[in-house]
Parts: sequence; structure tokens; C-alpha cells
Amino acid sequence: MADLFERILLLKRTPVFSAVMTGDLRLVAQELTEEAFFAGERVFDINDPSDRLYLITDGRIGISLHADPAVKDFIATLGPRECFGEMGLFDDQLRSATAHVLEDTRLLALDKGKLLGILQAYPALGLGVIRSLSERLRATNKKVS
Amino acid sequence: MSRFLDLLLIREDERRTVLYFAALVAVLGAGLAFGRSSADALFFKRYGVEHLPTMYALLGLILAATSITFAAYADRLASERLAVVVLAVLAALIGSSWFLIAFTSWRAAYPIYFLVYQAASELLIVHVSLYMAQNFDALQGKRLFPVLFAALEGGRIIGGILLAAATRLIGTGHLLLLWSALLIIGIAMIRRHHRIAGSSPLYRPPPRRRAPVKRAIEQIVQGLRFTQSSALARTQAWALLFLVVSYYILSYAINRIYTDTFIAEADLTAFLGLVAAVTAASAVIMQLLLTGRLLQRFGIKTVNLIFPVTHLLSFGVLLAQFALPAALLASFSRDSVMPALRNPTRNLFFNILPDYMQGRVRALSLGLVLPFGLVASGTGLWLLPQADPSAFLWVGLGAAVALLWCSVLSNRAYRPAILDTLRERLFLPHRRLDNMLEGADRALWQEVARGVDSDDEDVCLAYAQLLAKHFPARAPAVLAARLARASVPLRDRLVRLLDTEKSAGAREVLWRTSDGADDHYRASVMTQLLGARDVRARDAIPSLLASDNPRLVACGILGALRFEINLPGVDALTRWRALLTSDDYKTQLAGLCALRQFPSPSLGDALLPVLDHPNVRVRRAALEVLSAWRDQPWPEAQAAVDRALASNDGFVRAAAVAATHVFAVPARAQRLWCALGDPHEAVLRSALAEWQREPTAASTLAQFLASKGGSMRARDAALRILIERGAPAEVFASLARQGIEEGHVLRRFRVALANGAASSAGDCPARELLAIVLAEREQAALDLALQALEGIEERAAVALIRAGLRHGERHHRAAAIEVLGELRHRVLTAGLSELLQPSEQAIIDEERTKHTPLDDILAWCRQQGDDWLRTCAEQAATARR
Repeated sequence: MADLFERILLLKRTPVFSAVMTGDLRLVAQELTEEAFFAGERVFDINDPSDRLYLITDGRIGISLHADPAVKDFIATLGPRECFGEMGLFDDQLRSATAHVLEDTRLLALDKGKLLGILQAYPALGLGVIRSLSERLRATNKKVS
Repeated sequence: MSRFLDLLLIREDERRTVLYFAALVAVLGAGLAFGRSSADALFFKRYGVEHLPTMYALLGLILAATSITFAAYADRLASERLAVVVLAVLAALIGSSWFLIAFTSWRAAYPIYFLVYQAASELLIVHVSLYMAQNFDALQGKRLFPVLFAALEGGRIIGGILLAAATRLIGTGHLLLLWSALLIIGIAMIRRHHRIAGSSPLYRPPPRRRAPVKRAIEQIVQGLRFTQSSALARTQAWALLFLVVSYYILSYAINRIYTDTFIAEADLTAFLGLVAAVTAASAVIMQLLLTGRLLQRFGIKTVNLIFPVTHLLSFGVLLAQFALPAALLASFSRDSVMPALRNPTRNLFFNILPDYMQGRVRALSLGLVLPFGLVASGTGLWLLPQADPSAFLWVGLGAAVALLWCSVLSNRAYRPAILDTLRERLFLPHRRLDNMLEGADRALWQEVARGVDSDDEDVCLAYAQLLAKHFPARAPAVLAARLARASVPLRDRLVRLLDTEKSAGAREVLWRTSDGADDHYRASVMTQLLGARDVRARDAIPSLLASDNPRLVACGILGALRFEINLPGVDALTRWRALLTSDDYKTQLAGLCALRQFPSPSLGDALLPVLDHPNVRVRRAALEVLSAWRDQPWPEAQAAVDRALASNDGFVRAAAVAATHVFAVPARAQRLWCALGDPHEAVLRSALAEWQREPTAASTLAQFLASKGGSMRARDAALRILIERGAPAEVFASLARQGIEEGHVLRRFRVALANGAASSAGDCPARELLAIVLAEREQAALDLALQALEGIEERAAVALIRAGLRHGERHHRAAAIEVLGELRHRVLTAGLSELLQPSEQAIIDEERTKHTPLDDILAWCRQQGDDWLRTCAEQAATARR
């Protein structure tokens, strides 16, 4: 149960699920799968199919936009409780960046297909996701303007 | 200094700019104080106060011309450059006036200077607002403009006080030089500031437009048109007209008294300066200490009536006694009450007009209503006998009564206007979309038909459902065309939408499309046709029964039973039982599908085992059969339905909810209540449909809601049903009260958890999550209270408030709270407003001295009917141990 609570908190902190009710996040938390990577590996490469979101429970991930996936030119370094790959959940585009594992890392992955299944059956959760994305867009607009 | 600036909400990075603007507007304010007193005193004493009516009429024409020209060309230059031009021209005009007054005996110099002051004071205020708007964004503006306008008033007060001394030292005529000097200082300040800071950051040069004056006039004409469509814009325009007329009549009366009282020019100037300083100071004090409190305590509509009443009283007092005390009281109303109460209220009224309307209605006010009012008051005063003041005072009193009446009308227009604006801003329709389809025109049904033709099958189905519901006569032709290229699942669903019982056309479509079709589609079509007792379908029954396809066989069985046909060697019921007990799930599904349409309780023993079938589709179909047998008591099925209610599959749970009639009433109600809290859409829909069938739904749900049992989602859904079904007003009022009280408790606990109780609880995910859940429940309780108001208030208005509150934009939220204050149940709305405007500091302060123990919070949470809240509380308690 404790693990479920931590997962829900992790999800609640992501920009995609920040406005979803915690009770509904139980459904998503149950679908998270654990993955482990060693330092030096890559979680995904730029232009890979984009099919899942990752939440970092331990470790560090470097994000590079360089066209060559081997190049470690990071635009951001992410740590525990942060998420990446969320854009792939809702569009059918390829990965726009490469995720390098900077130190041994444990991740929780959310599969796009599973999420879409949940969204179909639980529209309230979908509305929460829309609200989260809209809040993020609004915040970005404010920054830009 | 730094603390003072913090108090004024001025941020570190904007201090330099704010200080510059404060200094600039203070200098300009002092100049305006010099200008006003000197222009009035010189005109009254050297030219004659009796000429004021002519001046008013001329001023009206000048203001019309200057405001249109300013509106047309103001955006051509960055506002700081235009400010330099305006101040320089003004300084030159005032300097010229001084020269004419000091060195010539040309009498026309006095009225010219008077008009220069009057037009300049209007223009300067408008331009200063524009200049500030090009240097501060909207959010900064809300914080800083009040401070800057206070600085302007401060400048006026200082100017008024200095004037009294200056006029004795240098004489009234030379005050013009001081004003000119202040304007030149203003120019120097502007140039210096922008040499360092660069151009106004928010200035965007507009594209070159042709005929800018024509466009400015068009804006006024559009504003005039808006007064036809918006009652608020109309009443505000009329109110302004009567205000201008009565204001200038009152000013004329006051000025006559002052001129008659103070014989010496220097005395009059000094007195006018003192009055200006005192009234400006009292206006600032009222703005700071009174306006906000009055608005909060009595609301905008009451405050909107205060100035018209004091204005009316001013005329009453002047009619009773045309002397100095009455003139002083009238000056207070005009120069203190009006800026402190009437101007902010008018701005608030303007702000609720839609954005596209505001600019044009303001253009109408400045470009037409204000000048017209001035010309009307000037002409009126000129025509009326001057010897007896009561003649024009009665006219002024009439205009003041009209102003009061227009203010009452504005108050009446306020609520519909704010609702309309909120609706427009949130893009909500005036009517429910379903209702719009009633009596729809050809264009709309063609649009629906186009939707049915969509390649996206989900879109097609959604439109097809609309078509079948609202245009049943047209549905067969449209659906027939789409059936030809539909997938198998879509075909099945479209076929079921056709009203085969009533429409021969629909039956014809089915026959036509089934020619040469596959068995699956034929089965769907034959089911429909047999259900509609189609005669041609009856003839096909023998061939259906002889088929290898279980779905066609099921159709044959259905037809045989429906038409009561006994075929030699064929026992329909035996064949049916064989289908239901088959090992093949597809065969079982075919049998169940027929059983749903033709209930046969004698097959109940075959149905019972299928209710626990491992295949989800079969189990769901069996539950659907059970739900169709409503007139049969079925206690044997209770255990199976309960197991289905606990299934992981949402659709199985939904089917089980529809089959809860197998339970006795209290047990069924309990299960339906739980189902309302299920997050799965199908389960919720099913539960809602079942509650609609319950004759005692209203009283049962009211009891459940009063007990605060179940999840917030369940309570929300239950309340929706209760509102649809209707219940006594006390029930809704009590539920709203309960929601408000619950909201307060949840807020207290949330704040306590984040502050007091948190410190003793340590850091753990369960407690952190509990704090989030409490915040969610607080919002839900608030929404529940609002929803309960739908039962006793205008539903559309409450729905708008809820939509506005859910919106992220602050001004939508503010508008929603404003509408809330307009509802009838004041005690409830006051409680809600308190919850909506976060005032947590008091709770935090209280928590510092009186900690709410974490155990109390956890115990309360564990007593609630909300499973998730209880779970979180349990977990937090476990983590603490």
C-alpha cells in the first residue's frame, strides 16, 4: 500500500497528472511498471517510437536534443520525482530527444496503450489530464508573454 | 523605505519605474491644482461667472473634437513621445495665456485659458492612463495603478496647499507660470527617464490605417449600437448624460456662491486651492479606508446609489439655502464622494461588459455623451433665468433624480449583464445543445447528416444517435447510405438506431441492405425486423432455425416465439436452452441476446450459471438479460450480482448495477448509492439510469446526502439526480449549508496538517497525500454546496458560477464570485464567498497557538463515508505508528 501512495504522489507531481484527483490516480498507479537502467545506458534515442512516460524514482537522467544519440549534450538533467517522455503519451510523433542514464537509475514506466484504455473507461481522469495540460499551456503562455 | 514599498506591493525590479511615474503624476497633479484654481478664479473674477454656461457649451464641442482626434492619433507615437508633445503644447498655451493676461488687456484671454485648463485636465488624465498602460502589464496595472493615482491625488493636495501661499506672494495671474514650469519639469523627467530606460516596453506601433478619424467616429457609432443590445451599456450611457448635466449645473451654482462670497481675487484663488486640497485629501482617505469596505459589506449595487443620493441632496440643500455652507457640502459630494465612490463603481460596472464592448462604450462616453451633456447643460443654463438660482437648481434636481433612476436601472441590468459576459467568456451556450435541435432548421439537420457521413466511426455514431432521436423520419435514408461502408460493430449499432416498429422506410432499408450480406449482419437485421413483427421476416423463420449460425438460430427462436409459430419437429425452448448451455461462448452469446429481447423465465435455471461465466462478454450479456427481467423476483441471482458488482471489469459492474432489482429496496439503494461513486463512466451511467427508475429516489438520495456517506463523486451524482427529480427547497438549502460547513472543516484540517500538525507528524508520503486529498475534498465540498444551490436558485446562473470557478483565469473566477453575490440566498452565498476567497492566515495564526492534534484530524477522516479519504487517513496513522 505504501508503494501505491508513493506512486500516486509521483504521478501527482508530474505536469500531465497534476490536476487529476488522487483517487483516480490509483488506476494509473496500478499500471506503472518498474524498469532499471545502468549508468551509460540510454532509456530511448531521439526518433525512437514514443510510447511511454517515465517517472524517476532513483538516479539521474540527462536529456539531449542532439541529432546523434551518442552525443551527451544535455539541455536538462532530471532527478528523483521528475518525469520525462510525457509528450509521447498523446501524440504519435517520434521521440524528440535522447534520454541518457547518468547514474544507476530506477524508473516507473507508464505505457501509452494502457493509459489510453484507462482514459476511455474513466473520462473523469481524462478531464483531469486535459486540465493539467491546459494549466501547463497557460503557464507557458504567461512565461512567453 | 523598502518595507513601505513592500506594503504597497511594489516589487524590487519595478521600483525605479514606479517611483518615476509616481513623481511624474504628482508633478502633473500639482500643476492641475494650480491650473484649476487659477483658471476658475481668473475667469469668475475678471470675465464673469455668468458666462459659465457659454463656456460649458463651448467645452462640449472642444472635448468632442479633442477626444476624437486623440483617439485617432494617440497610438501613432510611443506614449512618452506623445506625452512630451502634449505637455509642450500645453506649456506653450499656458505661457501664451500668461503673456496675454499679464501684458495685454485682451479679455478673451480668460475664457481661452479656462477652456485650455478644462480640455487639458481631461486629456492629461486619459493620456497618463495610456502612458502607464504602455509601461505596466495588466497584472502590474492592477497592483500599481491605485498607488499611482493616489500619487496624482497627492500632487493635487500639495498643489492646492501651496497655491494658497503662492497666490498671496505672486498673485493669481502669475500662477500660470508656475503651472508652465511644472509642465516643463514633467517634460524633463520624461526625457531623462526614457534616455535611461528606453521606450515604453508595451508600445506596439499600429499598422498604418487610412482615415483614423473616421475609425474613431465608427467606434463611437458602434458604442451607440451596443447600447441597443446591452441594457447595462444603455443605462450607463443615460446615467452619464444625466450626471454631466447635473454636475455642471451644480458646479455653476457652487462657483456662483464662491465668487459672491470671496470678493478679492486672491482670496478666491486661495480658497479654491484649499477646497481642492481638502476634497482631494478626503477623496483619497475615502478610497483607501472606505470604498473597498463598503463594496465588500454592501455590494456594488448599494454603493452605486450613494453618490446619486448625495448628489440629489446637494441640490436639495442648495435649494433650501443658496449659501456657502450648502456650496461646501455640494463640493464635498462632487469632489470627494464622486471620485471615491462613483468612479470606482462605474469602472466595476464597465468591467463586466464584454471586452469587445468596453472600448467602444468608453469611446461613446468620451466622444459623444460627455460633450453632448456639456452642450445641453450649457445651453440649458444659458436659456434659464439667472437671477433666481432656484430655476436652474430645479432643472439640476430633475437631472439628479434621472441619474438616480438610471443608477437603479443599471443595478437591475447588472446581474443579467454579468451572467451574459461570463457565459461569453467561458464559451458556454445560452441554451442546452440538445434543446437547440428541437425545431431545428434544414441547415442543422444537414449538418447532423454530414456528421453521420464522417469516416470516423465514433463521430458517425454520435451524430447517428442525434439523428435518430431528433429527426427519426429522415434517419432511414441517411443511415442506409452510411451502412454500406460501416464496419461490422458500427453496422450493428446503426441498425439498432432505426425505428423499425414505426417506420416502414426503416424496415425497407434493413431488407435492402441485408441482401447478400454476411450472416452476422443478417442476424442483426432479422432481430430488428422480428422485433418489429415484420411479416416478411416471419416467412424467414424456418430457414433461420435451420441455419448453422447460432445468431441466426437465435433469431429464428425469437421469431417463432414472438409469432407463436409451431414448426413440426422444432421445440424452440429446447433449442434455446441448448444455445445457453453450449460450451462455445459465441453460441451462448447468441442465446443470451435472444433472451434479452424475449424474456423467458422458464430458462432462468440456464441463465443462473452464466452470470458467473469466466468470459467477460458472456457474463455481461447474462447480467443484461437479468436486468431486462424486471418483473421477476430473482433472489437466487443476488450472490452472483454482488460478485459482479465487485468485478474488476467496469462494464461487468455496469451490467450488474442494472440488475440490482434482484435485491429488496434498501439493499438495492445501498448498492446503487455505492455505484454512483464508481469512477467508471459506464457504471455511473448505469447507476444514474437505475435511480431514474426508483420512485422514491428523491427521498432516499436526500437521506444519503444528509448522512454525508459515500464518496464525493457519489454525492455529486446523487445531487444531480435530486435536482432533476426535485425536492423541497429546505433540503437543498440544508445540503448547501452542510457543504459549506464541511468545506470549513476540511480547510482547517488541511491548513493544520500543513502547519501545526505537520511538525509533529514527520515527513511521510501518506501524510503528504492526505493533505492533498483534504484539499481535493475541500474543493469538492464547495462545489457540492454550489450544486445544491441549483435546486433553489436559477440553475443556469449557478452552473455559470461553477464553470467560472473551475476556470483557471482569475478574472473569470472573480466574475463568478461577483455573480454568486447576486443570488437570493444571501446567508448561503456569504458562507460560500468566505470559502472561495482564501483567507488562511487567520487559521494559520490560530494554529500557532492552538495546534489541532493530528490524531483528531485522522479520527475525523476515518469517520467519513469516503473510502479514499479513510484509506489515506488509515495509512497516515499506520505510518505515524
